[in-house]
Amino acid sequence: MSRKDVKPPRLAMFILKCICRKAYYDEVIGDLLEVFEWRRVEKGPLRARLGFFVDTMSAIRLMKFSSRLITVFSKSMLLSFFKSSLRNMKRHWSYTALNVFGLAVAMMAALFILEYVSYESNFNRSDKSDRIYRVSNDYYRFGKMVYESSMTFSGVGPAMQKDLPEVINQTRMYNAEIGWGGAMILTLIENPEVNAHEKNLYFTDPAITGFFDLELLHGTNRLSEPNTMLMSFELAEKYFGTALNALGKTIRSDDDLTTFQLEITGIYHKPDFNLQIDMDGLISYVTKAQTDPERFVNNWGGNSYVTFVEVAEDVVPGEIEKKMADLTLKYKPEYLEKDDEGNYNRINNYYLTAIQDIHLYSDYQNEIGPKGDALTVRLLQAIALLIVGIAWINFINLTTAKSIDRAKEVGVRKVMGAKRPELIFQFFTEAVLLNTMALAFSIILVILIQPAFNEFVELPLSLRGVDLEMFGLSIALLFFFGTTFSALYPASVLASHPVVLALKKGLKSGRGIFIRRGLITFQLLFSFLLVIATLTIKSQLDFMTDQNLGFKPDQVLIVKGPTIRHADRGSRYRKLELFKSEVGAIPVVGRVGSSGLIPGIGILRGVVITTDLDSPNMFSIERMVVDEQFLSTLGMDFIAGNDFLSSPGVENPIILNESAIKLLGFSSAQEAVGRTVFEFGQEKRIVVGVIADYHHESLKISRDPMYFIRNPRVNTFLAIELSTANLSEDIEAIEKLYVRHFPGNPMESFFLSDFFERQYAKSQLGGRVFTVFAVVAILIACLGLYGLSTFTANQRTKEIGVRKVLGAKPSNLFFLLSKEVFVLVLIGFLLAVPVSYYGMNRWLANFAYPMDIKPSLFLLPLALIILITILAIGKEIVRVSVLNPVKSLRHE
Amino acid sequence: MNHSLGALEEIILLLVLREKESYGAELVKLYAAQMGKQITLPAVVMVLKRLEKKGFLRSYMGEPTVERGGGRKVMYEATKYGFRTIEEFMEAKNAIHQMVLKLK
Repeated sequence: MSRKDVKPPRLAMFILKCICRKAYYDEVIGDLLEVFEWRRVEKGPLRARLGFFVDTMSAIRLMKFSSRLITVFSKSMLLSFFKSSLRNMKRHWSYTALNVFGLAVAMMAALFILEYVSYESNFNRSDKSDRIYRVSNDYYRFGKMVYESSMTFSGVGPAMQKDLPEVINQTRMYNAEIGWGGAMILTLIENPEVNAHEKNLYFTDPAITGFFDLELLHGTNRLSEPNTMLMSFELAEKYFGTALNALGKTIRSDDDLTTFQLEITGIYHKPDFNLQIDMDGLISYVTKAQTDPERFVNNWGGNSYVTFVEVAEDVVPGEIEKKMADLTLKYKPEYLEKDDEGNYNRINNYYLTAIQDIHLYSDYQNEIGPKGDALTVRLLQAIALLIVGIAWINFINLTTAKSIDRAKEVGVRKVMGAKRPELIFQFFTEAVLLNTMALAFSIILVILIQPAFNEFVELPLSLRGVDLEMFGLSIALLFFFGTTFSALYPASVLASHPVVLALKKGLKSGRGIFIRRGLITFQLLFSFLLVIATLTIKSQLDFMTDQNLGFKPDQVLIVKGPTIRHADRGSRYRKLELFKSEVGAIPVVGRVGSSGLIPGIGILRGVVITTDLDSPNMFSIERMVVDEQFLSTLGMDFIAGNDFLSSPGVENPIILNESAIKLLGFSSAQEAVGRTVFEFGQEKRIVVGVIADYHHESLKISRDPMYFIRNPRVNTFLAIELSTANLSEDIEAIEKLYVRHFPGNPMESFFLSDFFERQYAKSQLGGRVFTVFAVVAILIACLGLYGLSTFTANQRTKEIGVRKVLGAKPSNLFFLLSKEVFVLVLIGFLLAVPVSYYGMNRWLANFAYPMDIKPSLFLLPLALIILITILAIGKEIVRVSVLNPVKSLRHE
Repeated sequence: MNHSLGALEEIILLLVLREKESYGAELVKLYAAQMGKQITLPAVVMVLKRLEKKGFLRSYMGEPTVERGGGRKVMYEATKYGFRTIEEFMEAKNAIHQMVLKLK
């Protein structure tokens, strides 16, 4: 039972807000919640929710009625409108189905978008979220940025709370492998077999529960004491079966350095909103701090602490950011050093981000948790509006196109004495009915397709997640105005036919044809844009995955190094060596290497390097630690020298990449081998090899100068070259060795290629979402085209009869009738090209390695849409073209 | 003005009198306990408003409470007039009831 189930249904709350008399609302909602709570305790959550709904509905008696509205039309009249609407729908059932289907699909697409937008906007929306900020910082050295980070130093939070009166409270979050997910191992003490990597455990200060509305179900928050832990409901269930069982128990945790015995003092529910940083368990910060106070308390060097501060009311974050400069100098006096021009040599700037903005607006390389994108969210909102708008336009098109059939009915009604407002109301009723049916149908569609859609976008979306507070009113208004408008226009057109004309020969007027063509052109333009966007995203992704990365990730299995490794250093190293050689002995395994980083993870930037200690020329470069053959295991291309393995005698060797050669001013790679460089501007290193530049990160980022340092003991990642088709068996063999050599450590492994491509996950998702909406848009445009072709064909039946009699061939006729539509397609295309070209350029500018914009990106969608157009209009036009002229001449 | 008492109104008024002061949610619970059946809150609120309009009850804002997250609730208590009316009403009812017993 998660907390969601014990909250009253939000839909009901929303309905209540709408129907309850304003003056009573506060009283009623307060009482209702109390009754809800009482029922929940007495009868369980399900009955409570049900009862809440019943209560809400019965609140309609508290509504203020005005009875004036209803008297305009008598009850029996309304009933007759309703009845004849239903009859009409039945009679033209295929047309009704088409109409409802078009609207429903569009509404479904809009609802999905709404779910997504709600989900994306619902991060970190805690009660106090307007006063809680995340502190991030950057670092400039000699006026150049060395790094920027979403995390800051361990001393920053406490110092802010102590020295700045605006800051009321702070909390830090830390875990050993923070920055790319993090992982610690939890082990049940009674049963050590039960252990697992837990990605979302953090050492943190007590204020965290208040910052993120973590409600304690059982126990107390004792995070101010050492060796205490709070567990989420789910985690407690995972290890102890039930939450209550976990309370007061002790569990073991291991990270890279230490083992802790932690008392579980409380169980909390995760909040209703999404947490940017998922928290499965919280361990008191002092637990970690007392192992190494120098590092974890009041340190201003290492930035791996996500820091949140609570500020007093009405404090502008900018003011605090300004004050941080002095605070840095107070705690880092060495930063007072200035250059000749009076500028500080080293500068830290701090930034405060409101916690609910982190997900959509903050974009640090080392951001923890899923990154969202405000632009995508806004773009999708616009698309949702457009799709629904287009569906309504379509509805108008189809209705007016069919108006000929209704002209006689209108005539008869008029003769019988119906007045214009009544006729309008008749058609209006019909349109409202259709719209309501479409809405109901769309909700059913959403519920049916939801599981597939969620799998597709890899997000837990649901209709219940739709933020009614934010969107409720706009949905209601949109539906109201959309329905009214799309119902009124055709209704007034239909109702205004002159009686005699309508009765005599039906309707034959070109009224509105210009508008209709305009609308269809617009639909086509929109479809073109979406198809071109889909194709562009897909081509760029293909382009990036097809690029030569500079290494061969396909056959490389990456195994995460053991977390529990706090045996003495010597034996740990021996175990690692043993493991590497035993894995290497497996027949299908090629080379085995290890490293501190792998491609796909952001690298440490801004290390300084130089070729000459006396020169002031320091260069900013990226650094990575690897063992003797990690680079060759990954299949890097050596353009000069060799991997560390072939020069074991050299002390302090270094390998550079091609860009580094250029940066340092060597004339060629060959010339660089054997030369000396100074790491960190002081430590002497001999160049033993040069590799070609490779893509360490996604192709959004350009390749930078890098160097590699040898350290055979590095073991964050082990890279294993595999040449086999029998993967699962071989991985099992490796796992056996792993568990034997590193007991208590669950093995985690993945292929480097998968890991590297995960960087594109968000763009891939974007591509898929666009595909869905492109399909929907095309579908709706097809309905529009179909409507238009029906209209044209009907209008010109007689003309075609005459032409046929005079000897026109069906193919000529087909051309004649479809000409109009193809002109519209072409206009739509010509409008779409510049718009999408502009958008494409803007989007591709985000990538360091953009593809070339090829004509096929435009021509393929054109071909596709022409094909679809032929299919959409073909049936009707062929029908008319091959019709026996006797029949067509009799038409009307 | 209409000063009659409906059946539900009578029970709610009696319950308020018994508790000296009460409010909607509490009355829902009391009603369920006393009468053995459920009643919706808006029904109770409507009766309370009607009784207030007839002058049998008066309302005032209660103190903020914890279970409402610091929200205030609207409390109701009977007026002297309400008390007198129900007194008379019950007497009349009892008298009739007595006669029923005697008839038996």
